[in-house]
Amino acid sequence: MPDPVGFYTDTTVCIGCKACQVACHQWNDLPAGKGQRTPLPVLSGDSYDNTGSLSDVNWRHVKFIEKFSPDPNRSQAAWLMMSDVCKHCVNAPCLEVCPTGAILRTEFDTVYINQPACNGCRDCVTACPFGVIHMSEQTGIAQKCTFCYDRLKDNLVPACAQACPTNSIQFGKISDLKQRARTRVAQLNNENPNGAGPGGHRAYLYGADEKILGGLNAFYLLVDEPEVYGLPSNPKVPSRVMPASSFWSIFTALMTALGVLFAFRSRTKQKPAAPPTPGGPAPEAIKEVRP
Amino acid sequence: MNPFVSDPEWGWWIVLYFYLGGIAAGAYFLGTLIELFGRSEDRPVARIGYRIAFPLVCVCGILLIVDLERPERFWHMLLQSEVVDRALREGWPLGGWATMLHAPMFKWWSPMSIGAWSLFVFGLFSFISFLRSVWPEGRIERWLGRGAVGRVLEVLGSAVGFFVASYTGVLLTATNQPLWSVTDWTGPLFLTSAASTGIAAVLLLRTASVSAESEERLERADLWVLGLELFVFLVFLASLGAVLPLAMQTWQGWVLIFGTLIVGLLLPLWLHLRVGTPDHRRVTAAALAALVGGFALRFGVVRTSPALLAVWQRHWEHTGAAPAPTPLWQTWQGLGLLATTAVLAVLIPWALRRHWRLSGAQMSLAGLVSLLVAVGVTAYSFSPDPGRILNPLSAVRFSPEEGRLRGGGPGASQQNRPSEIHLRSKLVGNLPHER
Repeated sequence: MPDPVGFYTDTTVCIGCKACQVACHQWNDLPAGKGQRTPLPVLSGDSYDNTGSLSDVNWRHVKFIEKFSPDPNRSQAAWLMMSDVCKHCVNAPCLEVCPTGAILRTEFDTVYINQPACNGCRDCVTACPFGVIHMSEQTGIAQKCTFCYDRLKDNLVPACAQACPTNSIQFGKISDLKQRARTRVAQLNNENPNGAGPGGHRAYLYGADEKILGGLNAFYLLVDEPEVYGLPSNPKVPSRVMPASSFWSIFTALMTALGVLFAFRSRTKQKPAAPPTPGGPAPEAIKEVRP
Repeated sequence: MNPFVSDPEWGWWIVLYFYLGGIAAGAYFLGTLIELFGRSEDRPVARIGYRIAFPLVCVCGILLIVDLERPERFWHMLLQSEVVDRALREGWPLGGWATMLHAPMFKWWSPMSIGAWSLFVFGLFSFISFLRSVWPEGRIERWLGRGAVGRVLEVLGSAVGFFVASYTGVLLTATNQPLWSVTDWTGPLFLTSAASTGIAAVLLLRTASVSAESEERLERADLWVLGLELFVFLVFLASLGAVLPLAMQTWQGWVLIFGTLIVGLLLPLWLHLRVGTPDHRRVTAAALAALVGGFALRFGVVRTSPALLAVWQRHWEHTGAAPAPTPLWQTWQGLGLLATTAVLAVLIPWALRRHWRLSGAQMSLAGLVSLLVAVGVTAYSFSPDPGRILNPLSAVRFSPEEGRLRGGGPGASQQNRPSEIHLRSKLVGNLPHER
């Protein structure tokens, strides 16, 4: 079995050129635009970001995070750029919940959707904490980055990493990537004692260790809070909640059954329809409920 | 709350499935409990439950299939498509049986996988019960309705009914969506709602064969179930924590909270307080209110979650920051919930005592349940992360994916693996530009 591979994305050297997006589209024959309803590329009009988000036809998406200070003149401005993609989680929520077994772990430790098996139930969409998976408008099948599985099989670098002109997206064995990333974090924080990011935030790695879903095989170097980049701080594996949910459900089922049993084991005594007695029930009502 | 997820676009088909599936399951387990523990004169009530359950299960199956983006692949929920393909290549049904025997698809850690199987099994049980109810003296009744076989089928059917009633809630919890994933109480809430709407459907369709005494017992059961649902609903709202004030910024959230509370719980409870005085219109009105409220609950839970994504987005655009995760008691919504809980925790036992003169033991039980609910709501309201307190099984790991290490094998994707992944690729045919 090959070593686990992944992407290390250094957001501090991303220049927002979108070469990764273009390479991904080109290699995977993905249509331009946002899908069937809007087949042509659409400019959003409020940003250099014209694809908006990951989608069924955008498996890579360069985020343009435009940060301005709150003063009226917006005197401080910073652009954070980040090439977003499926994180190929080590404990993958989508893969865990998929009821058809269409989402697979490959021999490279990446997460892959087996198209002929998917029936479009969208449970993976509910589970993915990063909003990565989308349904194809044309085929009705869940879509996301394949980590260029075909290229990996042929010892080629994934298209996006191959195209990245600044080495923001780096591909390799996870152990090598982590080493490189830690060196870069140390360099950034040493060179910028007041913080490498806007507001004095220090550089750090998101998803390199096991804290987030056992690790992310596509991990990031960030210089601001994860939420600023549209990443959750503490995503969870969906099955985590099942023991507690099941426990309370069984408890409630027993309480429900007991109540129904009491009701149907009790003696009842019908009384004729009459207006309720002021100040209390009729004396015969005393006998009504006796389990 | 994680606002960075995509909307799965679970809409009307799923809302209707949750609703009708709940009614079917509730009506069915009511029937089995009556057959197991009730009197013979209550049998007609059980039969009505069975006659409701099976047709609704059929409708549920259709709803689920229609909701799929690829409806023709619905069977992939139950059978491994790759294994079936292999068996077909081996000539099944003339050969390939050994392969086909390995085809069933079951992931016990995936609520949707278990749910698909439980609905299938529930369909079989409810079909048998349906036949028994239509021909009470027929062969099916003689073979499967009496003796030890009948008892075993009723016990199993009851368990499957309870499962179908609650798994839909656990299915929503086992996601990363806002609202759905923050509380452990959706499963119990859907279960009690299934019971109340199931009983309401039986009450609504009661026939002349149901005696006045049976009807009264049915009303009492409904009253208990509605009271339990009310308490579970209050705990559910408190367990939402900081999501509750956000939910109240959406109209779907108002349908969830006030549609369920007022129409689905307080109104039928009030109407049922006069149980024992035969009044056809009162019972029918209570049943209708419970059914409308049950729909409001399913609709509200399913649709408030995507609406919250828009609320969060608006907040972020206006302030550049996420909404602060304030403990519930520091918000007016939380204070309102605490006050409502306090009032209801006193009012309900008091109303029971005043109208029905319960025994001392029953009053003690009602009081104890009220106290527990008040304590639960208070604990949730004062916790900064309420979703994960009152978690009795927090240490249990449930799936092979959780705790899996890097390079640690297939994890939760052991089933339906193709012998070789065939990816449409430029490496096949034309050589890519790199070469």
